[in-house]
Parts: sequence; C-alpha cells; structure tokens
Amino acid sequence: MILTLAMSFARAVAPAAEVPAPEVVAPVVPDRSAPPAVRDPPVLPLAEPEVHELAPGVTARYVRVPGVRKVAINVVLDAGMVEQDGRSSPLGEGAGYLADAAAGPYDASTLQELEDLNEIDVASYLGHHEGGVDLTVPIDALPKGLELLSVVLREPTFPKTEVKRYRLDQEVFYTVSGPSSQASVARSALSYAWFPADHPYGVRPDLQRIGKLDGAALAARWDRAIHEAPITVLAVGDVPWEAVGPALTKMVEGLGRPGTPPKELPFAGPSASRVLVVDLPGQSQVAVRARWKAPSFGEPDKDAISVANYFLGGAFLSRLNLNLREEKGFTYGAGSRYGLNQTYGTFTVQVDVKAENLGATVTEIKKELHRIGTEPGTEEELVSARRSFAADWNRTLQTADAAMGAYSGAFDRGLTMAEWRAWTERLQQVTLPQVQEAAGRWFADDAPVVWVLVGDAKAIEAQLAPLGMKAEVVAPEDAILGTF
Amino acid sequence: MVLLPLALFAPGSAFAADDPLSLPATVTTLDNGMVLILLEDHRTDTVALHVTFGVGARDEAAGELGCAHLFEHLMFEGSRNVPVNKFDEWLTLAGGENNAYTSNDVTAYHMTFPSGALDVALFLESDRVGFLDAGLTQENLENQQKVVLQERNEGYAEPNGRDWDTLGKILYPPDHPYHHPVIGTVADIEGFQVDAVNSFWRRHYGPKNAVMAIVGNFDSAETLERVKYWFSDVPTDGGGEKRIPEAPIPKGTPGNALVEDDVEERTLYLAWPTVPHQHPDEPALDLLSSVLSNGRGTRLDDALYYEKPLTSALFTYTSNGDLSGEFYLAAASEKTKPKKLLQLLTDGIATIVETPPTVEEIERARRSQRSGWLDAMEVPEGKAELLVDCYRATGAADCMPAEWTKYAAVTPDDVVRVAQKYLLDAKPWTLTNVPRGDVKSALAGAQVVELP
Repeated sequence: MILTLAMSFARAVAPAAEVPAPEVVAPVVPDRSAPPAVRDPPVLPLAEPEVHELAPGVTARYVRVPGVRKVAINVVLDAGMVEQDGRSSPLGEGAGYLADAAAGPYDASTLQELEDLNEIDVASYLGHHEGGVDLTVPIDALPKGLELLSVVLREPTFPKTEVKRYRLDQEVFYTVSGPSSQASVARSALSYAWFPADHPYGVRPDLQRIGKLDGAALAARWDRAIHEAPITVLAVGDVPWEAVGPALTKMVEGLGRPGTPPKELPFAGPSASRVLVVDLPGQSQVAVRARWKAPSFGEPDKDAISVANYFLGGAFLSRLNLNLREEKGFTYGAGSRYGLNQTYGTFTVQVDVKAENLGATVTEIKKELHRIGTEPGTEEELVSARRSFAADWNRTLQTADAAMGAYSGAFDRGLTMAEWRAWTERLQQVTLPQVQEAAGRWFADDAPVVWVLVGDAKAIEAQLAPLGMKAEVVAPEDAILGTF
Repeated sequence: MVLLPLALFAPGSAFAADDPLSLPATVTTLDNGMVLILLEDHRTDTVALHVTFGVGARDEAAGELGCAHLFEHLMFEGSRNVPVNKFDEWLTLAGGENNAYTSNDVTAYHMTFPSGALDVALFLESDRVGFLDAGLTQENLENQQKVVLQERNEGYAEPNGRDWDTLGKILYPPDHPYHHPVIGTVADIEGFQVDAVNSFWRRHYGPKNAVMAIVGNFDSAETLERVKYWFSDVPTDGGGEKRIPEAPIPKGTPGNALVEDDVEERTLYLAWPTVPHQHPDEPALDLLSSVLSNGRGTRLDDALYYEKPLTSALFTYTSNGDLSGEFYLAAASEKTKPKKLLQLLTDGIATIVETPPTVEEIERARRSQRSGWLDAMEVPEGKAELLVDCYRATGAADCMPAEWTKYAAVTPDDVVRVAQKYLLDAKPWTLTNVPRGDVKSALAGAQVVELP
C-alpha cells in the first residue's frame, strides 16, 4: 500500500526530459485503520533445577539463570506451625518474624548495617506449613550474604529489645492502628469470616500470649523448626553451583530431619452466605469484599477459573473494572483475585465505593458473576488472557527474585518446572465454553458467598435493605481480632 | 579517587560498559522534536515504553487545578483512531499492561508488552499524542471526572490520607506552583469542560514536550524506524508552552497545621523546604535522611523506636522537584504527645551536629541509595524510567554513574552542614494529625486546614 503510493507520486512528478529527476521521497503515512498485527509471545523455557543431597533430610535445588544481578536463596523448613504446633501460634509467628533481627555475633544494628552495606536482604518467617529464611544478595557480595544467611538460620538471638518492640507493634496494630484502617479491618474480617476459629487457618490473635512472649521461648521454638523437619534449599542466580554448594552444605550441617513434605489442610468453605458489616460511623466510603469458594489446585476447573478471574477482575478492562469504574464512575478500581491453594480455592472481589453507590455496586457484582456463568465470553477476552499469561511467565526470568517465585511456586506444589510450564500452556488451551461452564458451577446464584462491607453501618444497611440483604454488624475492634 | 576515572572515561568505553549503573542507550531527537532513547535488553521478551511529558500540576492556571492529573485518565479514553476503551483493550489483547502517574512537574505514561506487540504500542502512543482531541468527548470527560473524584475520596478516607496534600498546601504559599494538590480541587475537577481540557492538551501534549524511552528485546535500528513511522503524522505544533515561571522558595513564617482524622494515634510531621532536583546539596540531604531513619542502627529509629519505644512509626522522606524540594520527618504515637514528639525529633536532628556521622553511617546510607537504583535497573521498565528521568534532569540519558559520583563525594561534614543549614537553622512547618475530638493535643496555635 505504502510502496504503491510512493511509486505513483514519483511518476506524477517525474519530468519527461532526459534531465535526471530529483529523488522525491513520498510522505509515508502510518496506517491507522486498524491495530497492527501482533506476534504471539514465546513461552520461554525455565530449566529444571539440579538436585543435590546436602545431608539426611536436607536437599538443595539449584538453577542457573543467566544475566540476573543477584542470587536468591530460600532455605525452606518443610514444616510450619500446623505440623509442629497443631495450629498457628503467637510463639511460632514471633519466632519466624524475629529470627532475622539479630543473630550470631551481630546485634540488631550491626546485622542491619551489614545488610545495607552489602545490599543484602535476609528475611525469616514461619507460616502454616513451612518456614524458612530467604536471602537475596548481589553476586559480588555472595560470601557475606551466605554468612548472614547461615547465622540467621542457625543462631538467631532474639534480644530483649527486639522482642519488646515486636510485642508492642502487635498490640498497637490490634488495638490502635488496625481498627481505624478500612483496608486492615476488611482484610481481617474477611479472613475470619471465611475460616472458623477452630480451623488451623482461622486462629484468632491472642493478645495475652503475645504479651508474654520472651526470647528464650522464641529461641526454643525456632530451634525446633530448624531441627525437627526436612529442609529444602532453593538457589537461583547466575553463579555456578560451586559458588554456593560448599557454603550451603556447611550451613545445614546438623540441621533438618528426614520426613515427608507437609500438606495443606482441606477446607470445605462456608455452607451458607453471610453479610458482615463492620461499622465505622461517619465514614463516607465503603470497602466492599466478597468471597466465593473456588477450585483447588487439584481440581480440573482451576484452569477455566483462572481464565474466568482474568475476565472478571484480573486486568484493567476486566468486566468489573469496566463496569464499575469506566462505565459508572463508582470507583477508582475494582478487581478480583483467585486464591489457588493445594486443597482449597477462593475467589475474592474487591472494590471501594461511596456509600450511596453501594446498593448498585453489589447488584452489578452479582450480575457480573451471574453473566460469566450463563453467557459465553468473547474471543478477544480469551486471546487477551492467553497473551497476558505468557507475558507474566516470561517476566519470571527478569530478576533472581522473580525466578525464585516461579521455582518456589512449582516446588510448593510438588511439580517439576516442565509440569509447571505445562500448566501455563494448558491455560492457553482453555475454551470459552469451559470458562462459562466452570463459572456457572462455582459462582451460581445460590453459591455461598461471604460479603464484608466496611463503612458507616446505618448508610450500608439502608443500601442493603432494598436488595433483601440482612447483615450482622460488628465493631472494628472485633473485626480486627476475629471476635464476632 | 572515584571522580578521576569517571571524568577520564567517556561513555561507551570499557569502564562505562563495566559500570553496573551505566545504561548505554542511544538518544535521538526526532524531526517532530520528541526525544527518543533506545536501549536493547535481550534477557527476556519484554519491552518497556516510558514517555514523560513536561506538564504537571505546576502548569495549571486558576480554574484548571487537577487538569494535568485528569489527563492521566483521559489519555486512555480513546483518540482519533482508537475508540473509547480500545487503548487498554488492544494493548492487553497483545499481552501488555500500562499505567501512568502525575507529579507537580511531569506526567508519565508507561507500558510493558511482549516484543511482538511493539507496533501496537507505538500505534496507540502516537495516536494519543497526535490526535487525542478526537476522543475527548463530553461522555468520556464526565465519566473520568467521577473516577477522579472517587480516587480523591478513597485516598482521603484512609487514615492520614489527607496529610501529604495538606503539607504541600501549608509549605508553599498560594502563589507557588506546588501549593495545590496534584489531584486538584473538587470545584475545578467538577467544572472541567471539553473545550478547556482540549486547550490544556494542545498547550502541553505535543511531541516536542515529550521524552520517550524504549527498553527491551528489539533491534535499535529497526525500532527507530518504527517510531519514526508511527510518529511521522503527529502534528508538531502542540505542546511545549512556556511553563509557569519558577517561584521563589517560600518566605512565609512557618506555622502549625492540624488535621482531625478517623485515627487512634497522633502523627506529627515536620517539614522544611530545601533544594530543587540536581542542586549540589541534594545528595547530602538524601544521605542525612537515611542516617536519621532507615531501620535498625540509624539515629532516630534506635533512639525513638527500638531502644526506647516512644513512637509506633517513624520516618524521614526527601522530595526534590524541578522548582523546590522538601525534607520531612514524621512520627506517630498513641501515648507520646505531639509537643514531646517535637522535642524528641528536634533533639534527634541535633545529634547530627553534636556527634557527626561516622564514615560507616554515611557509607551505609550511600549503599542504600545505590541499591535502590540497581534494583530498578533489573527490569526494562525501571531502566526506561531512569533513562527518561536522567535525560530530563541532566540532558544525558546515561547519567547514573555521574549521579553516583555525587553521592560518593559526600562527606560527614557535608551532612552536618546541610542538617544545620536546612533543618536546625530553620524552624519547621508542622502538621499534627489527631483523632477526632482530640484537638487539644495538637501543637499550640495549630490551625485546621481544609482541602478544597
């Protein structure tokens, strides 16, 4: 098209005489009649990790990712609070939080100073089913990083000052700053409304026990975590195994114990719908959260629901944001999240609106959930989802942290990288009827849903009444502690 | 020691290539005046495009407060060849994503996408730079007015959500371009009309007011041709209106402001006007900020948070715009009264003079700064933003090695000097955020400040 135009133009101005025509360059006008064609992104391969047995019960999984600036090492303690304490506990949470504060010969200030001077980040934690210490370090500071990783893992000291500060921070959050934050209250209320207090994932904060935490008990708890469970060391970076292997072998000497990897606990989810209003009198905004059950990683519907999540709230122009922001101007942003766990799944919608728009917002959310299960999506939505998944996957090679995210994601689910990648490729094969059918099963009109609405209770109830939604009203102090 | 080799080696030399802070990009000024910065990065298939326009809240006249930020929304609402909502749809359909931000000085738009979508990204970007006016409909405008007002509501409804805009308002006098909030005022946002918005776009959004960086998996020569192609029909007459002239550093008397909020703790902010971006004292002020508060082992954090838990949160923050900068120090507490907090914070700053920072303290602060830059450079979008910011500030895209030499040259004496000059010799402006009904705990003479 452009070439033809150029030739025509040249012919029109060419003189008939033998004088050579001056070269005339035709103006090239961009073709804006339609968006240009797109080349599908490749799904880049990620190598399988090398596996090294470091000691009985301690395995390292290492992979070299060329070109990344840092090395990421996660020491994963293959049992968390549920395995060792029966459920989450202030002792376990405190030990996981504070192990990285001070360790070995380094007091808290010196340890932080060494991290800053060498651009090192060392962080410890204890979760439901695993704990550990994560390190990221630039390649040129690797020896110092490995040393700090080792002392934090083996010799945390839990000094009095740090423990006292931790106790105080917990108290301030649960009694002062948390209850006045809409976002914090909404997060806590939804979590506690979803998991009952007697489920290990629904444990409520125990301020009395938090107030009694002391360094000796925390040290003993951490000691148990590093000695009484299998350990897996994940390592990613642009260094040879020889640069990390010997130090890691020495680091885990005498730690860990052979055993089977922990498994997530099943959770059936609530059997009935519930509407919870957290009262913040005078607040003009309402934080809206709604949660449905969704397939677990082990269920075949997970692929289709992953795509459904993209359609509903996974991107800027997903249906909820298009409807509530772009069409109605109710919100600055609406989205959804698919929580895909091994034994249970959740699908959560999140949006903040003015109280006067709450009724219409709830109605539209329900409509969108109904529509995705009763009408097919569009080809454009499907192609957009596929390309987005591929682009997300390819970003995992950009940094050591991102690569670690992919490797630990596969490891947590007991998958090889090939299997993990195959899942991404399976997402590319999901069809529109599959999305509709799966959404219809999980988000049916009568499916149990937990609504959490945080704002002025009177204003909220006035909006809910015409919809026939009856609410339980709780105080923010109860929402943040789960005592409702 | 460090300065000498950097001065001797030109960009592109072996030294520059080995410097992890160096981004050896090519810079081209297109015929239409737009500056284009290209840097290949073939580690993954991702490409980042970042374009900054020299227009921000400071360029808004009376009646158009919030207009620069409104464009952060309107630029996605369609243009002559991109129907409403198709900007996002076509980009996400290609596997891309995008966002934008507005400050006092600039408005920036950024995208990341797979390399196979380069033409789509350039088509979309060039169409809105050249022909946004065709997509500026009353309907689009009204909808985004609602969205912006809701954005303001959501932000202000959060605990301490009004504090930063209030600080800007008290720190800069009414005739200063940084006085009003970037998000604008309710009256102006509600009052925008299509013609006025169109006029704002014509005055500020031409290619000669834009600096664009593209970083990622592409061939530079081919990409330069694609950019030339897509921007060849973009009109060159728009944009580049002379900016509202530099205002002097405020000379008003520092005062005490008050915000009543839905909070349970009191927060005290101290604020000082400092220096604009690229001022010789900027690096020393940044390092002073880190020496005072940047985690365990820093002066104020140890004294007021870890060793004696007199605060529940504490931070310092520096900001340096094109016209002026600020140094902020803030602390929150349920139990310690603002008057006491003021004394504690002031005493904490004074330790800098009484016991000058050690070389180790300075080096630690310096490394934190450098680490932040290097982390940003790990991804194409971080590189693209740094390249544009460098070019705007210095006229050179690959400026980070030179920036580092400035921070490397800061001595403990420099930090003492700037602490004395900008903080201790000057009374701060203060803002106390208190729980509703707790006005009496605010600093004496604190005045309630409302945001219009």
